Amino acid sequence: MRGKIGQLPTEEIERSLFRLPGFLSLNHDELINTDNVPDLLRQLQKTRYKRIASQALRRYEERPDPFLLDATLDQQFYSELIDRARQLASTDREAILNLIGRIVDRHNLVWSLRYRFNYGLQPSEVLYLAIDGGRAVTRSVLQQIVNADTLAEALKRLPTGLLGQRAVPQQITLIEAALRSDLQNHAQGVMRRSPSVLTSVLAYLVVRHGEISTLYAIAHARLHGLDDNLLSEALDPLQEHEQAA
Amino acid sequence: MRAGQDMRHITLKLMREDLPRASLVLAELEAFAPDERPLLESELPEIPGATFRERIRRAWAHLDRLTGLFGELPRQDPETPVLVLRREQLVEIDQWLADAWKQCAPCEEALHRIDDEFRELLELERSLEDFAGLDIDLSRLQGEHAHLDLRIGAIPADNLTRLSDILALSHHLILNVAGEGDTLRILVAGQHEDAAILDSVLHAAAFQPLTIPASFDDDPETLRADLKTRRSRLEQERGDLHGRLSNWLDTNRRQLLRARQMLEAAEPYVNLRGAARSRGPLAALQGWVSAGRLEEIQTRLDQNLQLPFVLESRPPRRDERHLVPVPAQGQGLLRPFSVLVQQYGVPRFGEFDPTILFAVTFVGMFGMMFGDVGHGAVILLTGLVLRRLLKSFTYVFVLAGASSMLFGWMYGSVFGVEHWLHPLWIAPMSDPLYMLTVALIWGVAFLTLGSVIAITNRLLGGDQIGALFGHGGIVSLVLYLALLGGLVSLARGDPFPLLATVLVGLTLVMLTVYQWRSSEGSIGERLFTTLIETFEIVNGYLASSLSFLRVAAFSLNHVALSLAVFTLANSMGTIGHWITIVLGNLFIIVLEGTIVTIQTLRLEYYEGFSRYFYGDGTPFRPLRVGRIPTR
Repeated sequence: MRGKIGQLPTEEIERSLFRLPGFLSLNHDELINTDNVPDLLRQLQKTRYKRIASQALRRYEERPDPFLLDATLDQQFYSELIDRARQLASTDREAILNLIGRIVDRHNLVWSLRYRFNYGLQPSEVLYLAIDGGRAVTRSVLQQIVNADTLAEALKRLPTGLLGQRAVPQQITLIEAALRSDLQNHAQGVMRRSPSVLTSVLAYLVVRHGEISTLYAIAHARLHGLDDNLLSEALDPLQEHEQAA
Repeated sequence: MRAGQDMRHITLKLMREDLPRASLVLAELEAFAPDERPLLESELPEIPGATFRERIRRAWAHLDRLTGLFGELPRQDPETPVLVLRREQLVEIDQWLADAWKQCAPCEEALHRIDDEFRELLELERSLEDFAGLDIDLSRLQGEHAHLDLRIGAIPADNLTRLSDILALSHHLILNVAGEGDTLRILVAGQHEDAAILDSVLHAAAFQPLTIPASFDDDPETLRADLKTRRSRLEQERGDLHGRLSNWLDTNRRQLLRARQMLEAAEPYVNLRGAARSRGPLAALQGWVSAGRLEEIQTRLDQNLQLPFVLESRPPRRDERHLVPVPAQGQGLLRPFSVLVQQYGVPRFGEFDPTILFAVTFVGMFGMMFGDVGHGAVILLTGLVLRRLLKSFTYVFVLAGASSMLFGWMYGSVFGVEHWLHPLWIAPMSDPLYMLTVALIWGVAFLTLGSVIAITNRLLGGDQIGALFGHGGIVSLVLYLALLGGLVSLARGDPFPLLATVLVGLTLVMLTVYQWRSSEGSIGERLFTTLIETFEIVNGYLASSLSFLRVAAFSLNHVALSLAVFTLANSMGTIGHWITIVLGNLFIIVLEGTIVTIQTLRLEYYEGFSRYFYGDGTPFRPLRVGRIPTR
């Protein structure tokens, strides 16, 4: 979809797709060869992503905002994930909802701050785009945050202890890095200690995703000849920020 | 009996120009499975056809879109010869399909727009019906208001709860909700100065506003006429578009069918992928064929290829045995049994193919468990009557029914009546203990045969340690038979024989030592593992033997069920008696037939296959003309 929005060549889009096993995979050829985003969404309506695609298509046809499309897809994805998690047996349910809730918290907080203070969306719209199912950043907490007039004011309304002992940074990118690091630490613990096997597996995926993202960043930096300082800053912006401070 | 025993690896060395033709010839024969390993990479570094493949894919994509628009196109006449698609033809077809899609895409887009408008019209009609029941002046919903902001529209049903919650936070209300299924119609009210907030939230909720027509405050007839006119206009537009598409198809049908046929003919070449390699004008392709078809392949290549070629073949090497694809054995009578075997797994190259043994034992055990001349005849006839539906599984019904009739004759049972026919062998209820003994002996024979096959498979696969000490290996088989012999002797009132005692002791020691040596961990863990594993081997054999008692148990169960039906029928009047007899017999056939089938499959899979069948082979998937659905 991003390829279609950016009008990238077919080969380039195809190179960036993962090959999944047949029973999971969508028909790449069919999707890649669509004429535009609405056409792609119409093709997706024929798949198991019908619900997500229908909503996205309606919104996109009315106002072709890529970020709104992203938000819709994320929202539908997490809602479905949480719905499924709620149907699990009690041994797994609480533990996995807790972990998903932390992922949702991170997503909701960072994107709500961006929507509100970078893109200037109305508080109600920001709230509408948020995902239900957060742990610390519930809807009422989020409402207080997005009702603030400035970012500094909003940050004062964050729940206490959101980042453990760490002070809340004052920039959205740093908040994102702090939440990511917090999630990684939490996932490491869950992976080792959670009595729920399913939750441990999800935690493992979270940790692995973090590690692979780091490796990917390093490879990219090397390929493009970025210097070590820039790379360190990209990998751990919090530490760099603290040192600079 | 050994799976894929006659498979040969072939390398066809030819001129690159002949590759598409060669792939088509091999695909028509359906006798060649490509081997994509880079065996020839050093001599022939290129994989030919990358651009060709890309073009084919693009052409298919456009053809698929056109097929989606026009519906499934009719198949070509099967007599039409399949032609090799040349590069310049492909370029032409690809271009033609791209142009064709460019011509038709606006019509598709317009049809989507009309569908959306129809949906909106429908929602509007429903909204007006909803509001007709309300006691308000509806004409006031139109236009601008000084303070009040009113919106009527449709939203996805999934979004209602979230929208209500969020709107409540910004002091808006959802006044009326109607509709069912995926879409709901709502009336939202708020203050005029909050219009921007409302706009943004409604947009995020995929809200589709419904435009109330100007005629709304007129009489209902005018309103209905207005909606009808809009509907007719949309239908007219849709009709025009379908007409244009139909005209286009009439003009281009031949070309469209030709394009599809040519693309299908090119599929074998596309599907060769890494199995074909080239360097300059030279090329080679490699794969697996059955030795029996080598001559036919050579002849067809001689007839069809224009340039020189060399076809080389060799038996599979030891290191590539696990890669050799194995064709399904079953043809004719064996076909459905082969399908049932493949539900468990595909035989590994060189291992014993269990299809024939499975077919014979399945049919035999089914008959023994469900022996009845009448019921067997019904199963047999059902198979014949439903042969179009059942296809190859007709044989399963016919053979199972025949087996049931044969055992029914031996048990002297016809529709559960045991005095119409003299039993050729024994009526099960007359000596249940004897039936159980027979079933146990059958179980021992089945398990012993399974172990012998497992040992043979391992020896043929070069796994001598596994053949000796593994699960179902020589040592555990000797232990099982010695233990069994001893137990039989005890049951007869004789002492446990010395030979059996020595064999049991010896094999137990050997197994224990083997388990100890192959286990890992601390001494305690190894001790525990050794004891459990050894116990599991002994216990597994005994439990499996007892498992076969069900063969006799179901033959007894059949008699008991029939008795129950007759007892019930005899307690009723004439009509009730015959209704009960008929329904009772149907019940027995369906219920018992199903249970016996499941139990037989369980014995085959669990007691048989798990013992001797690896089932992790590669299925033989030949190159074929036409498109493979999972591209």
